[in-house]
Formats: sequence, C-alpha cells, structure tokens
Amino acid sequence: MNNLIGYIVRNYDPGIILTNCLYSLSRVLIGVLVAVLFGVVLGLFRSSLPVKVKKIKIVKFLFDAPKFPPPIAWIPLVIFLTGIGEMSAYVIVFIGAFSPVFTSTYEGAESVPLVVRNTAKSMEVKGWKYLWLIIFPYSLPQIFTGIRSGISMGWMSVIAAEMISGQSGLGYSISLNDLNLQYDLVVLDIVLIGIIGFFLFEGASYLEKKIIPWNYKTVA
Amino acid sequence: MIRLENIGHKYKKDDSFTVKNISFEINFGECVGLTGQSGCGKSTIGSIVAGHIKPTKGRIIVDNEDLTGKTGRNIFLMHQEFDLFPWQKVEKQILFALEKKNLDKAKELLDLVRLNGFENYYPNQLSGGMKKRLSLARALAINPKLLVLDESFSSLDSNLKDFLYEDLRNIWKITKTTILLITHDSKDLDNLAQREIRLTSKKPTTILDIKNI
Repeated sequence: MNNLIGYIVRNYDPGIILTNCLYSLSRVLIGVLVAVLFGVVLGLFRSSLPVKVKKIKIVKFLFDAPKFPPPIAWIPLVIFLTGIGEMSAYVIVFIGAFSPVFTSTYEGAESVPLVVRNTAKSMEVKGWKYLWLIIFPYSLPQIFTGIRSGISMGWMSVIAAEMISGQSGLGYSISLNDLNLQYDLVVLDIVLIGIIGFFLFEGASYLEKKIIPWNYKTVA
Repeated sequence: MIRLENIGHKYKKDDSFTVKNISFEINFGECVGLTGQSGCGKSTIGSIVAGHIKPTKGRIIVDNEDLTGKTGRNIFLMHQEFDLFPWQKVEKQILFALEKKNLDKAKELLDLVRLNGFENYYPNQLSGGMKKRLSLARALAINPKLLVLDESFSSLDSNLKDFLYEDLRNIWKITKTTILLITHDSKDLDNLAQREIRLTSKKPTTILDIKNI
C-alpha cells in the first residue's frame, strides 16, 4: 500500500488529483442534498393526494414518466439551458438522485399500514402534523433506501456530466487523460471514483443507522 | 352511555348488507364482549364504532353526541395487529398519546402495565406481550370514553394471555375504562366481559343474543 501511494506521489500531482476529487464530491453532495429535499417533499405531497386523484392515469404518467430517461440523456438539454459550468453539474446530479428519493418516499408513505393511520387519526393527529409526525417517520427506512440509490446515481451522473462538459472533477480528468493517452491516470481516476463512491454509500448507511436507530434494534 | 342505533353497513353501493339492525348499549364502566364466528362482521362493527368506517345506516351516540363516522379521542380502537409507532421509544409513545404532555402521568401508565424500566426501548425491542401492554397503556393515555379491543390478544400464546387478563382486570378496576371486547375466544369473555353480545353467522349479520355473564 505504501509503495502504491509512494508511486502515485512521485509520478502524479496529488494536488490536482485531490482538487478533482473535491470538485466531484462537492457537486454530488450539493446535488444530492437538493434532490433529497425536493424528492422527500414531492413524494410526501404525491402520497397525500386524494386516492381518486392518485388513480388518474395522467397524474401517474406525469409523476412516473420523467424518471425513465437516464440522467446522461438530459446532459445536452441541461447544458443548453444552464451553460457549461457548475450549475449544469448540479442539475445533472439532481436529475440522477431525485427519482430514487422521490419514488422511495412515495412508496414508503403509501406503505404506512391502515392500523397506524387509524391510530393516528384517533389521536387527532391531522393535516401537516399527520404528514410530518406519522407518515414521514414511518417512511424513513424506505427514504434512506432511495437516498443510497440516489447517491449512487448522482455520483455516476456527475462523472458522466464532467466527462462531457466539465472543466474540473474526476470525469473531466478521465477525458483529459484519455486525450493525452495517459491511461495509467485514467485507471487512477476510475479507482478513485470507486473508492469515493464506496465511502459515499457507506456514509449514507452510517447516517441511516444514526437517524433511524429503531430500524436496527431487535428484541432485547 | 354509548348507544348503537340500528347500524347497517354494506361495503359497496350495490352489495347486500354485511351487518344489519345492530342496536345495543354499553354503560360507562362496563366491559362488554362482542362475539361471533370469524368473518361475521365483528371487526366491521368495531371500525364503525371507532369512526374508521361510516356506516350505511344508523348512528353511534356517545353521551348524547352523534359520533357516527367521526374519529377522535372519545372512542379508541386497539387493533389485532401491532399498531405502535416504530420510531417512538416506549415513553414517547405514551407522551405522544397524552392530550397534555405529562411525564408523571406517562410513568404512572407504564407502571400500570409493568413496563417501567423499558422507557428507552423501541417497540422492535419488546416481546409480543410487552408490545400489547404498551398498546394498552397508550390507549389508556388517550383516555377514551370507550376502548374497543378488536381481537387485540389473539396473536398471543395462552400463557401470555393469562398474564394479560390479570393485567387488564387490575387496570380495569383502577381506571374503570369502558371496554367493548371483540373476540371469538370464549376464554376472553370468561376472563373479562360482564355481558356478551352474540352475532349471527348468517349474512347479513344481526344480533343473535345479549346475555349477562
């Protein structure tokens, strides 16, 4: 391990590698954070619609169809609308992370058992309190499943966005090193993407255990 | 007094009635058993009484107030399934149910169901019997005029049930909570109920018999 790190430090500029890592990381964290906020709020909103409205085909279509085009397909349009730069990267990450969070929040909210809903109603928990104090916490385990998928999707999306239109970040670094035929650096970038992706995923799992401990506790 | 007046219900407009002509009264402080074979409509009546289902016909009168189809703290239905909130610790479950958050009252209720010492446990960490006792404490925290127990102990084994009967009898002596005990188990009736309302097995379900135990 020490030999490998020594080889990297001797042959490559650690400053540039670290900067690229931080650029990609900051983009994915900001994009995913915004996606989580919007995904959770919209997922809860969709769940709180009247059953009759939820069953209307056009409503289902409007909520479900946009999640099928992959984030990479949005890149030309996003660049056209926001230009090349940070904003396009955030938007691409947002698109990648939003769908899993939104879908899992909605499904989590829909899975709240009738007995729990009825119990809350008997306690006269209504309106936004019902959504915030009952539906949201019950959905949290599924929301976190969505967040973990969202982070993976967001991370893949930011690399793709940087490869196509970036001026910094690990995706941009891969494109640049490819042009310069420096395939050892391409391999290094790919390894770093894997390592950072793994730690992002593990970080989300760690957060999940801290935020929803009840999901991990069993009979004493 | 809690009064069911000529309750009838069909689940779909074109269906025939599931239950029909159900009328009975429960005095405050009484424990009344509602029995009948599986599928005869006991739980439907329980849900109607608790306001979770609005009946096609009839009224639910509590203290001269019409509570038909209205959910609220007056009538609380404790379900057959576990209906605890998994994210709330034991003490929080009770505090959440209390209208005025009072820690002493929460501790008193936990004492009553012998769950003191488990305040910081999540429901997942409790055994089946403990979960039922917690559900009961939470139901008492709501302080309903009528507590409907819908096959609430049917998932427990016979030993656990015996303990719960004793707990429930003691609690009932102290709190004098009015109870409608929905069950198909004669043991539940023998141990807890003062009166039995027996439903027919033929559809639509009506009352077959009301007798003192």
